[in-house]
Amino acid sequence: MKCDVLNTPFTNCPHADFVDKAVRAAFAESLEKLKGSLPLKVPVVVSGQKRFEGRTRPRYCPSQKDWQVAAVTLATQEDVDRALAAAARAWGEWRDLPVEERALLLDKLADRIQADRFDLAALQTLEVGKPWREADADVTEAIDFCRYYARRALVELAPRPQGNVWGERNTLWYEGRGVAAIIAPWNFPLAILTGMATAALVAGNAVLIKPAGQSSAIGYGLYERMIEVGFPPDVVHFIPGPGSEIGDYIVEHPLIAMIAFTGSKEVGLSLIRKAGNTKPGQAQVKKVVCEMGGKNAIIIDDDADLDEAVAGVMKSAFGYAGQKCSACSRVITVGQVHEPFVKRLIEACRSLHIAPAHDPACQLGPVIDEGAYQRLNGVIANPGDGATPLYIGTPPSDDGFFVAPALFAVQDPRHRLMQEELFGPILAIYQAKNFDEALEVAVSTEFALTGGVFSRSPSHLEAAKKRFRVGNLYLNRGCTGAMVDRQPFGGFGMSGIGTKAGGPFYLLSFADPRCVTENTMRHGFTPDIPPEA
Amino acid sequence: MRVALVLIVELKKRPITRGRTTTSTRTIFEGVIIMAPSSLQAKILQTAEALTERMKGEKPSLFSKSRWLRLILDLAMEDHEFKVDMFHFVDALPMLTTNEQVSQHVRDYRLHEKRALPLWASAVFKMASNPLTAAPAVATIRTIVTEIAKTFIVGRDTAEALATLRRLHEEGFAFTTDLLGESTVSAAEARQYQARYLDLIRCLAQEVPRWQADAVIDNNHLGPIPRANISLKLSALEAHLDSVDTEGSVARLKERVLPIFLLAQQNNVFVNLDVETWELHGITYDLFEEIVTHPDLRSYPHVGIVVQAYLKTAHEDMQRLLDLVRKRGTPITVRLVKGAYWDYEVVHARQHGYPCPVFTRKADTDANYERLTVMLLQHFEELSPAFASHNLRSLVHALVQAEERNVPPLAYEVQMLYGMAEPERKAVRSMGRRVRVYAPIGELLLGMAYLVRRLLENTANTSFLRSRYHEGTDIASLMATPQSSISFNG
Ligand SMILES: Cc1cc2nc3c(=O)[nH]c(=O)nc-3n(C[C@H](O)[C@H](O)[C@H](O)COP(=O)(O)OP(=O)(O)OC[C@H]3O[C@@H](n4cnc5c(N)ncnc54)[C@H](O)[C@@H]3O)c2cc1C
Repeated sequence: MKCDVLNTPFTNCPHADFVDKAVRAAFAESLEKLKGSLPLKVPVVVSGQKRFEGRTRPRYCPSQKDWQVAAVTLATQEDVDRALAAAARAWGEWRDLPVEERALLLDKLADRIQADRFDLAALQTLEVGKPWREADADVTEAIDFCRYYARRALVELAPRPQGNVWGERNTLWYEGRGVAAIIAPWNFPLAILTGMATAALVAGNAVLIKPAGQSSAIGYGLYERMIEVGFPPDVVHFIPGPGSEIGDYIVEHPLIAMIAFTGSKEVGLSLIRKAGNTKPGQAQVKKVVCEMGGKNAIIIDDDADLDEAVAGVMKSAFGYAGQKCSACSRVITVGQVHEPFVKRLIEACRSLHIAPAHDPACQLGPVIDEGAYQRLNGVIANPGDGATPLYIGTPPSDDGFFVAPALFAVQDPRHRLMQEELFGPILAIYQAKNFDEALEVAVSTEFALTGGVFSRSPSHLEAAKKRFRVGNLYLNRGCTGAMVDRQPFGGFGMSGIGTKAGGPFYLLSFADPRCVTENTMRHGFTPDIPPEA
Repeated sequence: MRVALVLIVELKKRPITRGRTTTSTRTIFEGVIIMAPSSLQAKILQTAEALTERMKGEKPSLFSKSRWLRLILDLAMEDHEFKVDMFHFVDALPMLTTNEQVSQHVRDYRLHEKRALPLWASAVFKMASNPLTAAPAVATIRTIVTEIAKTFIVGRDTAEALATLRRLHEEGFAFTTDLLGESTVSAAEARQYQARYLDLIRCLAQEVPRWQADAVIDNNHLGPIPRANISLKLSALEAHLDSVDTEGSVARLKERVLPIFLLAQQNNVFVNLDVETWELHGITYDLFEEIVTHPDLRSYPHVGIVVQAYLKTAHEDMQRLLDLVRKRGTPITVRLVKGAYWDYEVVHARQHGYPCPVFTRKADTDANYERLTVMLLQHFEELSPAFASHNLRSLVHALVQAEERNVPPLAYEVQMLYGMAEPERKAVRSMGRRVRVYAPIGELLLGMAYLVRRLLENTANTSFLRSRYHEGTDIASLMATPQSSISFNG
């Protein structure tokens, strides 16, 4: 098996270097080309058979409500049945392939995505309203997941000897569990989908890909490239459709062996419940890999560098309109830093350039859809008692679902703005008396995903490492933008079950360990005893 | 300001590269034959010796003025850990409002436990570390750091600065001044900054005509030049600068910067655009081009921009400026520097997987500086050269090359930072060359990022001033031709 390429060390795919004029031009060209081909038609694909007929749902551009980006064919329960049956049949052969073969496919997929990186990023600006830089970062993260998991698979899935006793040989290895449902979110439409799907595949599972309704065209972009590089059509199926209609059906299906999910806490918990409900004919206990929300805080210590702190909070709170699970939605200021910090933050919010995401000048784009738009505006209008508005921006137009930044001062750490994940450009600010209280408040939610501290006090940073217990803690930088391998990503508490995407041992969550023990003693002889030295 | 921190974190020991040239006559770009390096080198040595003769016994205020500054620099150069702790402490100091906070930071950075400090110094830190005795010690620390900052900053505000600038002028030195500040995170801050600049121009325009004339610094080879000279940092004039939207960034900046240039022209004030990080490089050059080709500014010669020799694109940058001058038909000034953001650029490129925009061998930067020096001198009528460096080799090389090419002495100038290389600056001036001092104005504590950057620059292993004044390296070795492996065939 030729897999020299996999023996090279992993390196992150560089983000687009927009300093280079040619790079900017290439992105713009992809965007223009794409605009000319809308709306994209997204089929259901079972065993390589595309179906465009039947019920479809339009997807509009969140920056420009009347602009149709895609027509998404909706999968039916019957599609799911056929896909699962085919996947279950194909799974065994896929699982038993040498791991190098599957890993190489991941590496090829990475190359394929990289070749089309700006097409895939441009599509994100239109389908999910992600600004240029962030759309590009999502694509590079997808590439990173492929390359990283390909390399980790060779290490983590390889058989390893256990124990060291003459007369017996023990071998432990991990192998696929069966058919995995990949239920992906729209906020990192390519990266998270690719990460979960390729982890499942390289570990030896067949997959049903169910993209989010808001990002099905991007999901299809991934599916098409997977098939092109050689993933078997019976091993990967593409099942777009509303979660409410086919989501539960997939999760509860007896042929599903595991579920990889990233999304809200509500959906995640209900999915865990449903997966725990054993159906007649079900072959195994379903395993769930689940990444849920966050209510992430950044602490601004009283000795913080405010230049850095304001910039870090702006990026973490309003990057992709706050629609990242890692986004900062609480700021905790320490003592007298509150006033100067808030003053500068308000002005920074006021100058944020709100624009369609496909405009390279966009600093804050739209939120994902009408539902989010209504919900967030509702919260801004009625944040609940005890929230004092510090700044409420005005969106530039209602051509798209633009929600301007909203800052609230809150005195009670239990206030809903300090507890509920809102997934939008809304930031609660709490003034703590001292650093100690700031740490207490920081961990006073049910979530434990990301967090940040801006401080120039080594003892405070040390205390934060111990007591600011979240999956990803960032010291003196913003709390978003985890990179594969460098910052393995994921939380615990109600933020997830403790897996680390883009980190070591993530793949093992997608596999079952098996151990084989062979007695090598025959008639009193064993080859294990070395000849006398 | 952001850069300073990155620089602190990335303090690294780098070897000093020295060597001697042995090559014979070679062709430098554009087909110009320069004299055999050996005879050039002889002249360089000769001039360097003449200059050092004039500097005998003098040390830059950096290495002499305040006992504390000298102490900090000495310790920082001896003890890497101390350097990091001390500079981190100084960096945070402006934000610390209570004695208790300062006391805690002294403990946090273990300044009270530092070895090798003179008794009186460690006594101050020990007192400061104890909350009960902190008050007087903290006051002392603040006074000292403020004193140190004064070495590099000409005044807290324009009024204070004008007195110093006037004194400088009396001593025979021209100036360029800039306003220090926090980094700009909002439009409001950018507008404020712009207003301060407009104000500065008006103040300078009123003040400088009252000064005594000085033929060397008030003129170039063609006649009078503005006495008032300002330097602008674009990152302070607009919060929304992003290469992804280069066109938009340039357009937004133009709105803020154009009024400054127009007012400067009305008041006969020179305006220079400082060049910052690579990320803003394209934006800065595009903006400069738009501004100086603006119909109202086209014929105004008192504008300038910076070329950073550590950039791999520096030669193209120079070429672009030459084309620009030919297009607009009026000369500009080019301040040739090595580049102040070396650590940041290297780290940033590595972290993002971008090609590194700067040379990574000091000798390459030095050699490129010399090559660009020659290019500037070849085109001095279009690109008025301003050699900004504290490196005596780089400067002497420029002086000698200018002489070889019969470039009139007032057709170019030498620039140095306030507080940094006074002996060099006096010596060059005494040879009848125009010397301009880069003089920042700002709140002393807010200028801390600037201060820390200067301290780092001067304690870096590769720093010329360090080898000359701290390590006492002899002049002949310091004058060695930079040995670069890069082939320059621009
Ligand atoms: C009047 C004046 C104005 C200035 N304006 C600007 C400006 O607008 N923009 C700006 O960026 N800088 C500016 N500078 C700073 C300048 O770029 C240098 O950082 C500083 O002058 C030190 O260089 P030197 O020649 O004096 O000393 P030297 O000690 O000879 O050189 C130090 C410089 O060498 C380079 N260097 C160090 N290590 C390496 C390495 N390993 N590989 C490659 N190169 C290395 C770096 O550029 C470093 O600053 C200005 C300086 C002066 C004096």
